[in-house]
Amino acid sequence: MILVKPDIKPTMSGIGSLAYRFVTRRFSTLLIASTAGAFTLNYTLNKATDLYWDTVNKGKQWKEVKLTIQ
Amino acid sequence: MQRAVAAGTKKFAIGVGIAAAAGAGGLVYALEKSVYASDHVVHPYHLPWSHSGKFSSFDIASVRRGYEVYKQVCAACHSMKFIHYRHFVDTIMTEEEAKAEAAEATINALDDRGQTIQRPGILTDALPNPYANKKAAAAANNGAAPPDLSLMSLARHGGDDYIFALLTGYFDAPAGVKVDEGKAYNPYFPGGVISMPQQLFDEGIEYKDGTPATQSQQAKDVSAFMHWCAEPFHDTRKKWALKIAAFIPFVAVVLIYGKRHIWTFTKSQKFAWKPVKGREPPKQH
Ligand code: HEC
Repeated sequence: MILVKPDIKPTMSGIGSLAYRFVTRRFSTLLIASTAGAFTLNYTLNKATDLYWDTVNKGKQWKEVKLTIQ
Repeated sequence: MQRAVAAGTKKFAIGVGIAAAAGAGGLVYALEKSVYASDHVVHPYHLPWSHSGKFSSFDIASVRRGYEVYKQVCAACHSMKFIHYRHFVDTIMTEEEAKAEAAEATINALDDRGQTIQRPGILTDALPNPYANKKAAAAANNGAAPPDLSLMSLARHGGDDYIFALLTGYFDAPAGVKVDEGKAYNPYFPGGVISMPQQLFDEGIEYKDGTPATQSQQAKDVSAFMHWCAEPFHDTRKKWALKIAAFIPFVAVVLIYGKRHIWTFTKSQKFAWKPVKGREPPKQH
């Protein structure tokens, strides 16, 4: 018995393929992209969640109460 | 044929999954909503605590007032052995305030020769225990020792709601309920007769920040303080919950993409078997 593999042409379009061609295909670019991504995601996520936290808990936290104590 | 079977199995598995999830959800909901009508106690009502939201921090101004109530009222009978004055520094007080609070307290300690002495407290001292031991505590309170309040918020059904209801829930005993000397009637306390008389009264204390010290205000503040003591990491925990919840969608995208990436080969491959002349499979009879 012979194994026959039908040749499938991957369609190259969309961001997925762009990401593949320029980033995920090579380990070097993947490493750079994930490192940079980790830093930016960490930074923005912390900024955004801290902002949300400080908005919903406005006036209740120690850092704000401290200012009202002389 | 095989494909149809596989699709059927998959549908069945999804069905079972949905049914299980719905059942578990229904059970949790039912348990949450049960009324416990057979308990011989009045259940506390739910109050809109400002810290009860998924991402809500404590109201530190209220916690600070609660400490004033604790110090001026509750500390006469109760201890808080797990809370030390250092815990207050930069969480609900400045360092100077915490040092001053500690210095006001009288601490039973040993001197260099092993003699018991009394000295003003320092930051590393725990909040003082008003009684030398449990027996002395019980003897001074009609036989029931006042429990340590460090973890009380988490130790009773109803939590903050219970403590608030208990502190504000003193009534004249209904006919037929015998209340012994030194005890009090409180329908929120299991059994209805408690060895702690009513403690909070309108204007019973005076707040430093000028808030009118009504009974309910004091009960709310001391409940918030006790919850803060039982869960000092509460705010950090909820902040991390927020951060992790915000991060989950990103992780999900990566995981789903990774899974599809790994499975593309398996999912898109096709096998075909071609008989080669002279090597045909054996004939079936
Ligand atoms: C006169 C002494 C005294 C004072 C002051 C006092 N308590 Fe109590 N407390 C007791 C005693 C005694 C008990 C035990 C009651 C019992 O088991 O019947 C108790 C029990 C409790 C309980 C536990 C109830 C339970 O479900 O077991 C809580 C909560 C409590 N006190 C909170 C407070 C708070 C808050 C204050 C300050 C506002 C306070 N107490 C002030 C004597 C006191």
